[in-house]
Amino acid sequence: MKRIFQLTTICFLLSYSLNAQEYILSGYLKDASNGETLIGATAFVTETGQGISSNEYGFYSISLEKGSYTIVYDYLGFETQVLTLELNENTRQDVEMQIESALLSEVVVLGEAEDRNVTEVEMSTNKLDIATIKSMPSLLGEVEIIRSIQLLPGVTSVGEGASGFNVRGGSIDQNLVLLDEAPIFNSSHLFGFFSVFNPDAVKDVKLYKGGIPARYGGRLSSILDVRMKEGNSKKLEVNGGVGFIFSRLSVEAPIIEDKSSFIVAGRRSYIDVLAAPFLDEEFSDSVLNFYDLTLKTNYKISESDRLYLSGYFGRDNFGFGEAAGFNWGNSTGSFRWNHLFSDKLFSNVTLFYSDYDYQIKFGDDAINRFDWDASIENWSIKPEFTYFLNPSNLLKFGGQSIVYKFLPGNAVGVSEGEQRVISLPPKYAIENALFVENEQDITDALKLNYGLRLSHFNYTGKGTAYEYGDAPAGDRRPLVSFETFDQWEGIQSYYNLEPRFSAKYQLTGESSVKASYNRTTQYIHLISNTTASTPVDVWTPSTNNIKPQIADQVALGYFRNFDNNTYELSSEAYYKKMNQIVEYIDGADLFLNTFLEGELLEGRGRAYGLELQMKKEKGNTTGWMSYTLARTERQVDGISRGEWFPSRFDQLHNLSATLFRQLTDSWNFSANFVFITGTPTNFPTSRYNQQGLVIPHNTNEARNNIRIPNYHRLDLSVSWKGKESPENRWQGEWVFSIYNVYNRRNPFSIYFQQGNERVAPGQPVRTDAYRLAVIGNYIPSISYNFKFK
Amino acid sequence: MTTRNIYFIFAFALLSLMACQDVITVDLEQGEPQVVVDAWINNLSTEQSIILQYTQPYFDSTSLAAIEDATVQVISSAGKTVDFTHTGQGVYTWTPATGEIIGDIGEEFDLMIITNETTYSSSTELRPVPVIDSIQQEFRTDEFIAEDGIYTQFFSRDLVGLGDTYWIKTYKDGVYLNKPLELNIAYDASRAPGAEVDNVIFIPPIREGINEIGDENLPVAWEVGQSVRVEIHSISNDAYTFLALAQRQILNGLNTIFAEPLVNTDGNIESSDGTEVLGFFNVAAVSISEKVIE
Repeated sequence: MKRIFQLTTICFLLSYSLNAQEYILSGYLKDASNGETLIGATAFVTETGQGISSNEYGFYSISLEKGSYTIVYDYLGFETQVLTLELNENTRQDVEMQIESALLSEVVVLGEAEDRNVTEVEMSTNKLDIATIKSMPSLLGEVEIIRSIQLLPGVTSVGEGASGFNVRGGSIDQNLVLLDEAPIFNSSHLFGFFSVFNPDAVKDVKLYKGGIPARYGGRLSSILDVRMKEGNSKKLEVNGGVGFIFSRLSVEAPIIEDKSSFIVAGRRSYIDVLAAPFLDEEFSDSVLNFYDLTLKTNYKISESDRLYLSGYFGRDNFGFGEAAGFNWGNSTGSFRWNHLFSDKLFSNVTLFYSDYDYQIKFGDDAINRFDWDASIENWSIKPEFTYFLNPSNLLKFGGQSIVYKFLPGNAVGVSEGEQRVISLPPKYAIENALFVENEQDITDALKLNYGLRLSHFNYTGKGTAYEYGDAPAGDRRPLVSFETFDQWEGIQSYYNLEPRFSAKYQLTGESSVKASYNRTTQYIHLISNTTASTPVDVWTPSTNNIKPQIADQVALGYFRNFDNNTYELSSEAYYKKMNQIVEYIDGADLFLNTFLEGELLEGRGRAYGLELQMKKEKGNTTGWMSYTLARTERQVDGISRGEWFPSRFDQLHNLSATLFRQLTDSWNFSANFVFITGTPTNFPTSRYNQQGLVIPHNTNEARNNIRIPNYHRLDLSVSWKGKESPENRWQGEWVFSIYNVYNRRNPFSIYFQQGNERVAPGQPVRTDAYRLAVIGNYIPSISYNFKFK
Repeated sequence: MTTRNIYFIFAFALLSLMACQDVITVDLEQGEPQVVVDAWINNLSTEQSIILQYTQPYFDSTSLAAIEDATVQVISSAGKTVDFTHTGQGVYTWTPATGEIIGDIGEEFDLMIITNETTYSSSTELRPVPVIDSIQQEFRTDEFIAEDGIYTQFFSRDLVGLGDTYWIKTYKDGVYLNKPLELNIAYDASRAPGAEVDNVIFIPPIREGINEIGDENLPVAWEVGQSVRVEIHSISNDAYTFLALAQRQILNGLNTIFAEPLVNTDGNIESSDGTEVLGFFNVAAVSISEKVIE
């Protein structure tokens, strides 16, 4: 740790010594057709060989000595723009880039500089632009962000229909999912079939699996940074679609041209509407729907100040007449202020609010009922500064404070008119972080990104802190004492220093090696012990009993582009060590349990693997193929006799191929294929009887000791799109897709269960193995999308 | 809060989607046979039995190996010793004389099982049980996911004080309802220890847990003339934990994507040689109510 400090200090000093008399060229890079800012587009200075990428807000800045320069602006899928200019003062140069006419069909893989894969210091990241995601074949024709990223190397899921995703062996709560910087605590609609992101409102999706820059923190395994569109600032644009699941509509338009615009995008499922006529009478008042609304507006106050306001509200509703109801959803709001202190110092301050909550009710009358709700709410301020120090150094620094309120369960039961409140009190916590990172060109070939994040977590009152005694590994720990605390009084605090480091060494113009190390800390945990996480799972803070999870990851990669950047090869090996992960004793009661912390176990995990990806970026046929060879294991005293066991989402081989082919100007074809090693689950070795019940038993107490069969699936999609032209303002698109083309019954899991028939006392009870396939058939679909400009 | 109700909702929601399930053949590793003690007795003056058998391979429902040469005794803290005698296939019984019971509420009991090689032992306490006030029937037409018809519930109030645990057993026309979904247990008036629902009338899922569950995992209506017999057995807290965990293993999240990891259900029997013994010893007090559906 001390070394890293020294190294950081030296690097900073070095970077200052490089400063000389220079002028600054800066500005915003935008899409000329709709005014959307471009993230990760590059400005390349031909004379000096220096390049810089635009940041998350489309801003770039580069300092150059006085002189005349040829600047090449580049963004894949857009026409390259070349500008010659005389730099004798600080110059503001906003650039609007034109979409490459040949690529109007939207079959574009990755909108970035062509050789970014090789030249940038960043590794273990994947960027998917929304046009790519929209072109992939999808389940029921619904464009799906979370399912799309599961086709990337290193990203897996425990199975079809499961919520969330697993990155490099991490559990689903180890991903920080951000929508315009506000965290989304449950990214799924309908359990895990669809994600909460409306594709019409999303601009850009970037996943960090490793080499996580110091500006991000709070989760162990990954950052999924989803950025929303700003809204067309040139003219009115309406997008929409009709699919089997959702109907979507979005409207975007300038409010004041080139100053302010907005986007409003909504979706609603209508399974219930379609199904209503076919339901029996007792289901007639049942509800099954989900919807979401995404909004954003921005306002350019001046050349130096821009404001953004984004919001998301989504809900899933299940209701069964008066007898029972269940709903859950996220709401977020973020307000951002971009301010340019100078052409070199860009700042953004984000204020956000995010909430995830659910309600459950049973009982149709006042004298017998049960109502339950739970939530996690948080408020945050996050100032960030980008200092374009000189062409060799890009400095970022800032901080974040988050206030959390956890409501683990508010429950009231009424039995024959007598009421019992069985609520758990709220819990409070404050998370703070400070970070600094620098991206530095040491030589033409060597580029570093190094930084430090200091994080702090304070579990505070108002509340009761419980102290538990020792118990044999795997047993419930007994309550020893408790102490009550006042509002905001500190109960337990943790400090962690998280060093981050990445390096790139350019071997040739087309190849490089990269290495990275990062330490990440996670202070809040999703309490979940089921194969797929359920919407009722509750988040809990680190406390005096639950320590923060800490992970260290190293990754090494070789990157090579071929044939004038037409093909891109990425290969990476990683090893990740996770400590203080949360596990559960046998039979732990995770809901409405005051003494939950006595039923948690602390474990460790390790994950390692090799990820290969070959991508073709240009031409009529594009796509990628990725292969991951990986292991992820856990070791917990009290589970599986304390031995290492594979985690439930361990997949040795994971192969996926995604292909896009432009057939004609109007017709496009795409295909996905995936092959995944079966995940491990638990099987009983024997059984025994107790009072007529047949109880499964595992003699070795081994966890995840059998593998379900391998998973493989092919999806195809063909789309037809009308021509876009100034005369034709309505552009329609038909998408025909088949999911699971060869009709494979891929098992989600295998279960062992006694037969359902009634058995007379003393008679033998049948026990069987059942295969559960969440999707047991091929699923064809047709959807229609339109754009009106 | 019982997770069982939540599973119902999930299961329903998922079944309404595209899921499908079929029986398959799996080669399972077989575990070494282990001794199993099934010793759930009560203080009624009826024949009591304790069963000593071995575990079976998971898919084997026939070959039940039994311990047939053990000495089985239950000794009460009041000084009464009861000998259970072997009647075949590992079943040991004791038939009390008319009016004789094994002991009274508050007494402690030791179970001693002596074989040639090993001694197995356990102990428990006979805990009190509340009376059943009534069994009521009702014709329901708007029942949630069930046919119209007559459904029953029993009324009884949990005893004062936290930590009373019960097993409610139902007999329909004399047939014990023994499916895993019919296992009806209570921690105080509710389903889980954390809830602390004390000294109220049992909550509706427990009261209504006396209806038969059919092949579709839905409640079955009663016919006029059928008899219903409800028994509340007092069980120890450990017995509650045992049954609750066993039920979770047996139901396995109702075979949805929300299953928990399969874990072993620890019993309360110890062996003199330290080997793991499965099963449970509990002595229950019982309250009974009966009704004929009208």
